[in-house]
Amino acid sequence: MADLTTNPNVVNPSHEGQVDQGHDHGHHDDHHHEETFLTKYVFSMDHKMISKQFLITGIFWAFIGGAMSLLFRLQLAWPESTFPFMETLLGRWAEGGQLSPDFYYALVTIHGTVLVFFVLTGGLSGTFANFLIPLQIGARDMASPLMNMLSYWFFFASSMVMFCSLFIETGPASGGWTSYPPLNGLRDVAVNKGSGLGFDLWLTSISLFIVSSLLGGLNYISTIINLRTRGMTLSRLPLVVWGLMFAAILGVLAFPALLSAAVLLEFDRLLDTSFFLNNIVINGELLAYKGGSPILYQHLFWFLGHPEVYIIIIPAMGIVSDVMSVHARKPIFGYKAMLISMLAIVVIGFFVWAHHMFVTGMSPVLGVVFAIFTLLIAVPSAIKTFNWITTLWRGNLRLTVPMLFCIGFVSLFITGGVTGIFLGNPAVDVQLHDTYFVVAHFHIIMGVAAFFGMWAGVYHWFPKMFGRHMNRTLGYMHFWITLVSAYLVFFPMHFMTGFPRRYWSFTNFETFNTMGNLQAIITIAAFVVFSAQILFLTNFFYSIFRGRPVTEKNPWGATTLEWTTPIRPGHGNWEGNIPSVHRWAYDYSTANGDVGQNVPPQEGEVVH
Amino acid sequence: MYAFIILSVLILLFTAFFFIGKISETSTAIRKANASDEGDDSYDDMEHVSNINGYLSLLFMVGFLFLSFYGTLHYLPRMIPRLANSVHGQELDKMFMMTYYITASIFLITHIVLFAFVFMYRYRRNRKAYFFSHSNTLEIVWTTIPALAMAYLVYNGLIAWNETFTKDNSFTEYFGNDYSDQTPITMEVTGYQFGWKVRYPGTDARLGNRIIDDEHINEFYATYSLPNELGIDWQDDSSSHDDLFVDDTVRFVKGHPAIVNVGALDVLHSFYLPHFRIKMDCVPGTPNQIKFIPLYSTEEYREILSKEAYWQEINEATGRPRWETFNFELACTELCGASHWAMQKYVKVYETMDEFYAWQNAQTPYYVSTVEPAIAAVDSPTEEEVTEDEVSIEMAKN
Repeated sequence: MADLTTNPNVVNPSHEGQVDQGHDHGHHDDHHHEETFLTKYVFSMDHKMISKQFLITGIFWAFIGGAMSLLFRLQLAWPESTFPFMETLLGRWAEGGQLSPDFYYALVTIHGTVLVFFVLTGGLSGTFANFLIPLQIGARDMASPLMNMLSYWFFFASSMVMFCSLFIETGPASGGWTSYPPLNGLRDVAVNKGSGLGFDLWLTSISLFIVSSLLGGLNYISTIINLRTRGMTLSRLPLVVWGLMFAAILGVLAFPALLSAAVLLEFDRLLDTSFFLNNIVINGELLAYKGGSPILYQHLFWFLGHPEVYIIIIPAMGIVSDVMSVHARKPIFGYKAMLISMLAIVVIGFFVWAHHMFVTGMSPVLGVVFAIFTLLIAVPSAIKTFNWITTLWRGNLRLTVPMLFCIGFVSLFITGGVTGIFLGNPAVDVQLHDTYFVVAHFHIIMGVAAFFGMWAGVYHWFPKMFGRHMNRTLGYMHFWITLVSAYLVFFPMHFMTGFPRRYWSFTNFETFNTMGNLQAIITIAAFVVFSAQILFLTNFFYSIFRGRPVTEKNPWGATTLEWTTPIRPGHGNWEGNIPSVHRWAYDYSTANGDVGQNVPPQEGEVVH
Repeated sequence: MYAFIILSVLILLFTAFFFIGKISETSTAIRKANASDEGDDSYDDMEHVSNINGYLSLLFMVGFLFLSFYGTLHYLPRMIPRLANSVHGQELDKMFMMTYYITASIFLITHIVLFAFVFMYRYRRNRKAYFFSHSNTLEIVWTTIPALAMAYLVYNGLIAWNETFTKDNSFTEYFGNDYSDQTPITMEVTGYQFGWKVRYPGTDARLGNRIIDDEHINEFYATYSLPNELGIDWQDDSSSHDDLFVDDTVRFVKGHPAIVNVGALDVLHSFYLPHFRIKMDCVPGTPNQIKFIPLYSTEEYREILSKEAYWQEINEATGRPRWETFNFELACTELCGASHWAMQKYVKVYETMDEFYAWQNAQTPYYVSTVEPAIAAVDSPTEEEVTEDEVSIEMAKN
């Protein structure tokens, strides 16, 4: 194998663009400041530490969100049974051991919110953008480390507000993660318990999160544009960096729409404006709100809400592309096609939002436009899938844990992707809208698949993050148990075509009681998935402190720059000069073997 | 006690898993060390794990594909509601099946190829991966094929969608047929926390006007102590006087267009008739309309279900076969608060218009039963009051 470590031949590369990085790490990093616990672990400006902070906060919320789903899955599987432990845990929210409808909806709402925003946006983009961007493009840190730190602390504040909202008297927000008015637009606990203080806190939390996401996103974009090392042209960037940049661009363009919706909604609630409210009659009384439109809120919400699913899945796609290439010992197939298709998803992704609103009474003409764009997105998605499969073809697949998660990702992406073709077609969506079919679709494609991308990343970059290996056997167990049982949770939901989602119980309806013990099977599988995550968490935290130490710089034999840093890189990443880049990130199994990005071309060699 | 036993078993299982992990790590290290000490190169750790996981992938593929298709077939007869009971619904179902055949084949083929590759190209010491970075031909092939498939689906889907949601209420060219000679039933459904106000016109076939303003809702309520949430113009529009409100069952007639005006009082709701493939959001302040033509009466639909095993089973609650007591239902599909899950109503489809008229004629209009007495009580004093007044006047005269 070729030498993938820092190339000593590159003498004094000039990094004019990188001199001004807000702190004084010169080209030699041996003069470290004395760091206290507070500056090193808490208010750190090192992108690697911030990335770990995002990861661990994300894990915390994944645990909470997952545990919540177990509680409401128990209710769904055995709606007429009681579970005394629930009363112990939740008190008056589960009197007699049965989850109250109010709290059921609160759990559903918070589960959705924290998993979408805190785990799969903050935890996924936050972790890998922070960790990989400087390391892979050859920069010592982000363009603005201070803004980066603030991004985390706004996220932390947002988390804290959300966490506090779980404990207030009227309960946390319970009007769905989409928070449609008027249910959430009236600050009246008689209409909905969660629409009181709980929803004020929800809006505050989400607003803080948007600030965090914007600070982070702007930073990621400017870092990628400005701080690339010599030779790292845009067309040599690893796909994961591209994915993270696209996600950041999506976030920067789409999150402000949600912020405006949140602010206007709070105006309606606190100042009695009528942006989203019109002709509301409660208890026989017509309220004073006039002329607003609840549908306007939905447009604003989904203008973020739909790009949000790409904010989640595109970084995961990037991670999978790169990790798969490393472990298949092959270049990713169709780098340019992958790039163009990602770009296509980003652009078209802005013109599909109203497919969430086919049955709001929209004009059929409008529906036509959104349906065409929606199904158009299936094309770049299909290209990506076929390219991943072709990457495996005639490879030498090292079936390591991260590689298996990549393969699992592709399987989930197919399964969840094809059901999108049903939902994007308005004629079919009429029946499927707001049913378990939708629940199955988005949990598989942006829930489980995005998680698989995240796990692939965690298992792959763990040695770089912590200088230790995770336990492989536990990793394999984690993978297989999760794959099988996650499918057992979400695949059967397709069979419940037409069962309305967000139902506390189906016992009132004859129509929705035809599936026998399917709900119970799903719940049991959900418990198994959750147990497997405890196995993962044990492995993760145990390995941080007691894992097998990494003894070589580049344990996976990868070509990208992060593996040219010391095993435990300090703040500034490279001791000495930042390596220059001479080729793309995918020179695996070439005529010259596997060649790192920092290795100059040999005579006569044509490099990408 | 059971909880304790289950918990202990779980903890033990968990500990076992953890130690298996630890031990296998150590044993791998020992095996590697031994092999290199002895100069034995027959053992390659990566080959070992790739083999195991390669076979597991194959096993997974077989199990997964089998279960997903078996499950689909097994649950198909119970998937609600299998047979669409409306003209447009049958078209939408054709679209569903068309999409299903296309996507199920993609799903099947890509999964087989994916896991077959994982198995075939699993790590071998002596294998060298084939450097294959791009192929424009392949990219063009798998851009064109999905694009054509999507174009085909979206074209067909949009035709059905446009006909379903057409603004034209004449039904002269509704899915290729002329239904304009069938008397339509225009009615109104309004969602509220937590139920539905269902209003039918009386014999004049016209719904009374609604005026949503302070006068018709708040002042009316204050004056007559009778809520008028819908803002119906009771006093100036006599077509409201024969309107019917139904409490239990929504009614339609087979073969006759149903034009449903949907709305909501307080928060968003969604009017969902699963068997009829009807779903339309109810938005406070924004009226929506949806229409459909039922194809089977309730009795006919029961007949159809009676041939299916699931519906022949005995319903424990009634002691009779399930199909005998089958009813169409109305549900809410937009989260509207704590009892969102309980907004159930039955739906009945009559065989003929005459049955519908018979039901209609047997009802007392809401105006007659409730509104008129309430207005009369306030506007014109009751006899008793009159007598009292007269008595007092007479007494004053005296």
